[in-house]
Amino acid sequence: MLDALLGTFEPFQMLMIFIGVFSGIIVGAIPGLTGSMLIALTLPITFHMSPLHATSLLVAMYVGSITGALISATLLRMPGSPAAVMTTIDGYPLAKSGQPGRALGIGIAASFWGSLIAWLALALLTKPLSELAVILGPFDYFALVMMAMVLIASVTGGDMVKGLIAGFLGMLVTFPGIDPSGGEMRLMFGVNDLIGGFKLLPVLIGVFAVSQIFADVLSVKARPEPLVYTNKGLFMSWKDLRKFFPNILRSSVIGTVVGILPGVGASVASAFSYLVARLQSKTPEKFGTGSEEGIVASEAANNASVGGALIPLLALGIPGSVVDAILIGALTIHSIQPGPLMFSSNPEIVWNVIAVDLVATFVMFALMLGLVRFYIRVAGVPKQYLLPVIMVCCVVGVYSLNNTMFDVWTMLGFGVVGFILERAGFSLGPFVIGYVLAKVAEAKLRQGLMFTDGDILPLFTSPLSATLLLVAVVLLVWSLLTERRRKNSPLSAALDEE
Amino acid sequence: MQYFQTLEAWVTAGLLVVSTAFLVSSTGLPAGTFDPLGPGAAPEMVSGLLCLLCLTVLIRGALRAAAGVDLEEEAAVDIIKREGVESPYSLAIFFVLLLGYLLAFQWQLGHFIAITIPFVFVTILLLGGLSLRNGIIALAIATGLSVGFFYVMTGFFTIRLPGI
Repeated sequence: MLDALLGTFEPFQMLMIFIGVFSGIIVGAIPGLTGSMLIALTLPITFHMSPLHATSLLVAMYVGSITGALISATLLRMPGSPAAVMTTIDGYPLAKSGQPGRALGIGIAASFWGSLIAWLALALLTKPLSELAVILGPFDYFALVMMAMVLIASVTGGDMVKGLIAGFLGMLVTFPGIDPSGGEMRLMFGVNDLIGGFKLLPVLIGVFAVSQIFADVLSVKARPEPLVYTNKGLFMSWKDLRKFFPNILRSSVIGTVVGILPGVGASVASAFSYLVARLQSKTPEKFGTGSEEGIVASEAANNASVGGALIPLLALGIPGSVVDAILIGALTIHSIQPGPLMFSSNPEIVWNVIAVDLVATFVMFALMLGLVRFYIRVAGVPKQYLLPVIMVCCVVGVYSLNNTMFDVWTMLGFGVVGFILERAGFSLGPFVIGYVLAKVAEAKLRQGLMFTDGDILPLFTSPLSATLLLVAVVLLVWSLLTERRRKNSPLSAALDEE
Repeated sequence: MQYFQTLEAWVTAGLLVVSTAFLVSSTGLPAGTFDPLGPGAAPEMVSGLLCLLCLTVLIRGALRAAAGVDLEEEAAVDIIKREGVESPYSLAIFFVLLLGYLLAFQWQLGHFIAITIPFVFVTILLLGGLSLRNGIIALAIATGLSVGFFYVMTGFFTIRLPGI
C-alpha cells in the first residue's frame, strides 16, 4: 500500500491524477455531460498508456466528476449529474440567499470527508473480501451475478420490468461472435465483421456519449445565468466541521454501503442519506429552503459512494456503479481480469487504484477550492459549442481503435438505441452492467455444469449459491410489490409529486 | 394514446422482434462439444426471458391505455412535447449532418480537416443560431479542433485518418 502511495508521486502518475481530477470536475460541472461519458471517451487514449497510468487517470476522473456536479447544482440550479440532484434542493436556495461561497464550501468539505471515510472502507475491506471471494465456486459466482442484475434492475430507473429488459438486452448484445467457451461462431446474422462481437468501446461510447449528444441536441436551450459568486465562507471552519461531523460520518457510511451494492450508484446514495438527514435533523422544516445539513448529507454520500463502489469491483469483479462497469471494461482492455484473483495476479493495479482514490481526493479538494471561479465560468459554456467537438472526439476515438468504420457505425447504432431506450423510459445503467456481466455469468454457469457433468441441482442446493438466489428472488418480489403499492397509494403519489 | 405510451409500445415491440430473432437463431445452434450447455443455451435463456418481459410491458401498456391511466413519466414527456421545449428538427438535421460526415469519413471523400471543419461549423450554427458572433466562434472552433486533432492523432498517436 505504502509503495503504491509513493508511486502516485511519480511525475507522470501525478500528472495523470491532476488531469483526471481537473477534467472530471469540468465535465461534472457542465450540465448534460457526465463522468461516464468522459471516462468512456478517454478509454481509446488509455490504449497508449501503461495499465497503471490508465487506471490512475480514469479513477481520478471518477472522483472529480462526482464532485464537479456540485458547482452547477449550487449556482445554476442544474445538477451537473444525477448524483447532485439532492444538492440542488438546498444548495441553490442557500447560494441565492447571498451565501454562494458558503454553499459551495460546505459541499466541497463534505465531499472531501465523504471520500476520505469511504477510502478507509476501501483500503480496509477490499482485501479481506477478495480473500473470501476466492472460495466462491462457479455456481456461487453465477448466483452472485444474477443477484446483482436483479438489484440493479430494481433500484435504477424505477420500473423493475423495464430495468430487467434493459439488463437482458445488454446481455444479449454480448452473444454474437465467437463463443468464448467452445470456439464456435454464433448469432452473426451474416455479418462477418461481427466475428469479434460488438466491441466494448463502441458500445460504451455509443450508449453513454452519442445518445447523450442526441438528447442534448434535441433540447439545446439557454442556460440560466449563474448566481453572482463571492468567496466568502468558502473555507469551512473547525467549528462548522465539528457541528457537521456526525452528519458527514453518517452520510459517508450510507454512501459507502450503498456504493458497495452492485450497480447502485451515487444518486441513490445521495437521495437516501438526504432523507435520513432530514429525519434526524432538529430543523427538518429547513430542508428544501437552503439547509446546510441537506448539502452536507447529499455531497458526503455521493462522494463516499465512489470509494464504496470500487470495493466490489476490485474484490469481486462486480461493478458497484455504471462508471465501475466502464472501469471493468478498461481493465479488460489492458488484459487485466477484475475479480478476487486480481490481488495475486495484478496486486500493483489494485493497490494503485486504492492509492489513487486517496490522492485524487486531496487533489480534488485543492482544485475545487483553488479554481472554483474558473470552474464556474466553464460550467456556463454553451452546449452548442461543446456538442460537435464531443461528437468528433467520439468518431475519431472509436475509429482509432482498429482503423475500421465498422466500429464507428456500431457506436452510432448503439447511440441511437440508447437514445430511444431512454426516451421510452428504459434505464441505460442495467444495459451496460448486463453487457459487462453477461460473459462472466455464461462462463461460470457453463464451467459449473462441466464440473457437475450437466447437473444443475447444486446451483440450488449449495448453501452460498442457494442463499444468493433466494436473496435475488426476494428482492425481485419485494421490488415488484413495492412498485405496485407505490403506484396504488394516493399518499405516495402526492409525496412523489411534492 | 399519449406520446409516451405510443413510444414505449413501439420500442418494446421492436425489442420483441429482436429478441425473437435471437431466440430462433440460437435454437438452431449445435449442441456443445465440451460442455453440456453448448453455445446456444445462454442466448436462448436470455432472449426467451426478454420476449416474456417485452410481452409483459406490451400487455401492461395496453391495459393502462384502455383504462386511461397516466404515469408520471408519461405526463412529464407529454408536457415537454406540448410546451415545445424540444426541437426534433434540430435533431433530424444534426443526424443527417452526422451521417454525411461519417460517409465522407468512410469513403475518404476528402482530407480529415476538410471534412471536419464543415461538419463542426454547420452544427454549431444549427444549434446556436445564425449570427456573426456565432459564425466567428464556430469557424474558430471548427478550424482549431480539426487541425489540432489531426496533428495530435496522426503525429502523437499514429492513427491513420482520412487524408494520409
